[in-house]
Amino acid sequence: MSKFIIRYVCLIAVVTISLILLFHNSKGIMAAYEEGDVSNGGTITGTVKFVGDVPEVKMLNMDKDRETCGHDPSPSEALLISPDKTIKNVVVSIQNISKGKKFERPAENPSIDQKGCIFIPHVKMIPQGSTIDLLNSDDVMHNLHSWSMKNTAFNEGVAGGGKLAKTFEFSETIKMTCDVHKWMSAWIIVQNNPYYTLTGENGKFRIEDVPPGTYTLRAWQESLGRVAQEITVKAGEETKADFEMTKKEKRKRRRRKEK
Amino acid sequence: MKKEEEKSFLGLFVLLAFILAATNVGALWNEIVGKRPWKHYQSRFYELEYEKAKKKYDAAVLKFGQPEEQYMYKAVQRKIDEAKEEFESPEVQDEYKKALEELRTLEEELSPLRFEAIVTRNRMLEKKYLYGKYKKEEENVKVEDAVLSIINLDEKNKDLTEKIKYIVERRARLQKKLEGFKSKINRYTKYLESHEISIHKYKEAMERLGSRRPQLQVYQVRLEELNEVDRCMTCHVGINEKKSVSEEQPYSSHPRREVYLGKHPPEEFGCVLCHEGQARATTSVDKAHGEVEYWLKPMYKGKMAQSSCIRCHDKGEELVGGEEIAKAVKLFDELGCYGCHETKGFGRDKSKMIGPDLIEISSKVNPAWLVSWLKGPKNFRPSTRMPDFILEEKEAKAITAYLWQQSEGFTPGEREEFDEDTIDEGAYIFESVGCLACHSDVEEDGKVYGPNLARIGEKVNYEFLVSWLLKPKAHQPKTRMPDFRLDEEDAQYLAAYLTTLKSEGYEERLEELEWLNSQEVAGLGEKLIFRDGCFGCHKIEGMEDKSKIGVELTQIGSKNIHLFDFGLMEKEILGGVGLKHAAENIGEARHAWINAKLSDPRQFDKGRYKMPEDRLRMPNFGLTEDEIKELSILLTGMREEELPESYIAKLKGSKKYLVEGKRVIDKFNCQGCHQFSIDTLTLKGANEIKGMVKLEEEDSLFFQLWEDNERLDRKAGETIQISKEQIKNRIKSEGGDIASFIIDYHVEVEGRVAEEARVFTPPVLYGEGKKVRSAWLFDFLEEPVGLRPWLDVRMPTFKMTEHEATILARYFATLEGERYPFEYVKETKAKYIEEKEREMPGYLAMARHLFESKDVNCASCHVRGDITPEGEPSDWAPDLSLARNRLKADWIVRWLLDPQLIQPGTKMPKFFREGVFQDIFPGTPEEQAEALKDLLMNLPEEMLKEQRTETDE
Repeated sequence: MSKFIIRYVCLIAVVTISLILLFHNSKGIMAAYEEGDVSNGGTITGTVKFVGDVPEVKMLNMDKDRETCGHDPSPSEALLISPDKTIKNVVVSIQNISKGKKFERPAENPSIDQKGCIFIPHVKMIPQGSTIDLLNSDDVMHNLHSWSMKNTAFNEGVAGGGKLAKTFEFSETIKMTCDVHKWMSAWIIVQNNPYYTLTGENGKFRIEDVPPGTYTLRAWQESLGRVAQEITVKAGEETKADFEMTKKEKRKRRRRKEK
Repeated sequence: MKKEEEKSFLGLFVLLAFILAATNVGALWNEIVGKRPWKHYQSRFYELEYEKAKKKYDAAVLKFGQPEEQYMYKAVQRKIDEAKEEFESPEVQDEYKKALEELRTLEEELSPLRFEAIVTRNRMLEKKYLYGKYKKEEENVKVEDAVLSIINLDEKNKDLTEKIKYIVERRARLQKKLEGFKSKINRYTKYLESHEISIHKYKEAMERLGSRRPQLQVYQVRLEELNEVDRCMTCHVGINEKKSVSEEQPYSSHPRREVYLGKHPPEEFGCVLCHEGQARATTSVDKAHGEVEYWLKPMYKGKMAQSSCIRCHDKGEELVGGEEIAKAVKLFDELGCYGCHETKGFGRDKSKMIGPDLIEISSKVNPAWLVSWLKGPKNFRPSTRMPDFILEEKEAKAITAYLWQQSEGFTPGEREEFDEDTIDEGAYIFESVGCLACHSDVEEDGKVYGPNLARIGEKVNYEFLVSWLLKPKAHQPKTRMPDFRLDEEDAQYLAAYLTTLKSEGYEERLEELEWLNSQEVAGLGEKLIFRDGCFGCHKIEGMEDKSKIGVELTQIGSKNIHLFDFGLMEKEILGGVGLKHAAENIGEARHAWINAKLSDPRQFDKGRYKMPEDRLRMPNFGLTEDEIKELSILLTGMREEELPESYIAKLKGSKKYLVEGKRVIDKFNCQGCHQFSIDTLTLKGANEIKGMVKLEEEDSLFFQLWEDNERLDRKAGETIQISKEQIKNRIKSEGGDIASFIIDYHVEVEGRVAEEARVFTPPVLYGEGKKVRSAWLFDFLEEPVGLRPWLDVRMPTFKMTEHEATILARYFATLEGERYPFEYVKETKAKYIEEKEREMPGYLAMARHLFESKDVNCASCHVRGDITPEGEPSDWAPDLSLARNRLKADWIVRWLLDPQLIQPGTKMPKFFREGVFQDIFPGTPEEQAEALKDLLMNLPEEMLKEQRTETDE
């Protein structure tokens, strides 16, 4: 009889494990982040600086729906460099961390608004699995188009004063555009761990409560791409990690024989 | 000397008797065994079959004998014993018997009751009849009597029914209880049986094979119409078995049996129809296979059997199982073999050329290039189809001179130098307009579809290029190069860029060109052209009506072996395939000759003295081994004898339309720009999902579904992650080759994300037949217009024939099972709109409000007739005034409801969600989309013309 029980238990176990694996796969939480308490964690601080000639700020050519959007051409937020050459709105995050502090989710849904035909804010970071409210405070129709690869992409028209709520289950850097007003773009950064931040006005960032260890710290900016460095965080200490970013030479259009 | 009668012949008689006996035995043995090798094969087959069944049985027994299995088996057996014991214990037995007794009593009670019920019912019927009768006869007393008895009887009936019901219910309970006593026993017994069942099954199969094995016999199929008897299955008994009993011949079943035998049942087709051989022979393997001296059709083995496909099937059809011959047909066509060799079934497309016309050669290329090209085309362009005629410098110059003097056109001017900006602009056009769909400017890419252009600057004159790019057909009426509708300036930029494409270290040689104008040199050239038959593939002034110089290939597969000239190479070539002389195995010998000819066409001249004009003339095509193999399958299959009509698989109906369409698509390389199918993944458990791989990671991929998948419970449009372990098979989408270049550009230069860049690639044609109307498509193919203002790449004008455009329009309709050529469009009929207006007064006006409402605002992006949206043209969306004639009405509705489902990534947003726009057009999203569709199919004139606003006046 006991043999039967053992067999039964084994079967149940196998089924459960395969179900978990299947669920896992379908949800894509392959390398899940484990939450816990971090005591005496380290801190990472640094500044992101621009190297090279500062490119001219692009002005957005708002050539449509002028009544709503047609204020003076406003500067593009695609690259914000302060006079001291520090860069604002750079996403700094730890890439390969599997365990650490609590992954706190905002009590209310985070949101991105469309106001005066501009996405506010331009870069929004949200934890994996959370829902974001996409608003339209303008009096014209905007469409919300997500150019995502992992999360199900969408493109829906939203009426003035309307709202669209979307959930993102995979960690991904997603560009959002409004195709009606082609100058409008924003970025949603879906994070799979709580160690992430945006640089402020002075290009500075600070990440706290990092368990001691060696990590890859990455800085990403939409116009400058990504830069990464290895850092070692010690308990209770502050680790400095500055980044330098530069504009890459644009490839010439012709392919020619540079294969 | 003895007298005759005294002589004894005993010795002689004994000797003769022995000889006679021996002869008899020999004859008998030969009759029974020697001439019947198939008996051995057949009995061996049955042995193998038996062995296989036995193996399975043994495995089952062995498995059953395993301690675990035995343990379980015994445990269950014990359970049964326990249950039986329990059942047989006095208490249970007592109860059981009591219940049984009770049941019997009930049964006894039940039958009289049922009988009584029937009697009562019958009596009631009788009374009812009498009631009617008395009523008629007006015998009132009797009527009353009858009524009374009816009421009584009815009550009795009800009473009886009640009783019966009660007893039946009790009986059921009792039966259940009785079963309950035995339930354990039954359950365990069943379990045991299920465990033994596989053993029983195999045992039965084994016994059947052991005892009831069919008598050894000749199996034959008579192919009535061919007057052929096919006995192959006498040895190959198991050829049509689902599972092979052995890998070894003649016991195994047919490879890819489902394809080959599934579609050609051996009872109908025999084996000989595809494999040839001597099907009625049974006395030896070699004889049966026809591998004997002078047998004309020895057996085709393996892929060679594909030779026979074209005996019944159209050459253009890409058959499953006929992959090799399909490749060969394509190759034969592409190489233009029929340019020199008359071959029935090839060269039917009169609007296609093999090589370019040489009428304008002097204005097109420079003479030094032509000389070096003629001496070795593959040195200049390894991917070219032009074969090597193995010409000497003198010969190449002579041909050049002749062509030059015959040529018409302008004389090119001095070479021009272009500045960096002009060249860059040209490169931009080269990459953006669509050239890359067919051409590459990188040598290593080889031939994409059109010629490789990596060294085009060494060859072509700038002025000619400009003029060519502007109107290719004006120079080469049969070229497949389409007209990109470039303006003069763009053509100049593009030509400037192309002339800079040269190989590294290329330097133009300045030569003395006097020979070019020499009559004498040209005279030699003319002779050479006649000898080599250049006019078979190229149009040359004054040689248009020359006939083909090669032998006809239509029946080469049946050509008599002694007509193949091996020259002095016979021993070597035949020896290579293990033959001493050609008659030994005619098929093999023919095959060897064809292979030798294709790999080195002029080798048969070796060692022979021949005048130059008598030498072999076939040029060297530089074919790969695989190509030679494929071509020899095709050539072997081109045979003399024709099969009866009933065997011919005539292409007809939709199959024909699809084959024809595919041919035209291949001809114009539509796949160079357009994607025709989507990705298909087969997951474990045979779940097939369709859509697009969006992102591939190390051990998983992200897949966007284009069709609902019930088994995954996911809808079209959703992106799902699939681990690679789950994927059993993956079929990539076909076509859209240019997309990667366009995406690269928009990512690297314009800084867009890859998904966004996909918008700039040519439209996917998956499901096109459901989308556009055939009549419109026909028109569009004949004369394309720009539909999508944001695209740099453009649909060129192919100037295809009307027949070709018809075939394509029909292809797309057929592919989706749509009606062709006519379809009824109810939406454009007055009656339809009247009906709608009656149902919902102001229907179209309300639809228009929806169209114009600021929260839908179609005109914000879409062009409509004369009215253009704000902003730059590259941000505009397609002209809505075209919808009525271009799009299918039901497609418009599906599109409006969720554009991302039909064309993932499209900039067209989804508007109609449950509950929106109720103040403008109340209804469901479907009704709202329907209304917009009806408006689009009936757009009033005034919505397409710029309205004069008050300020204008």
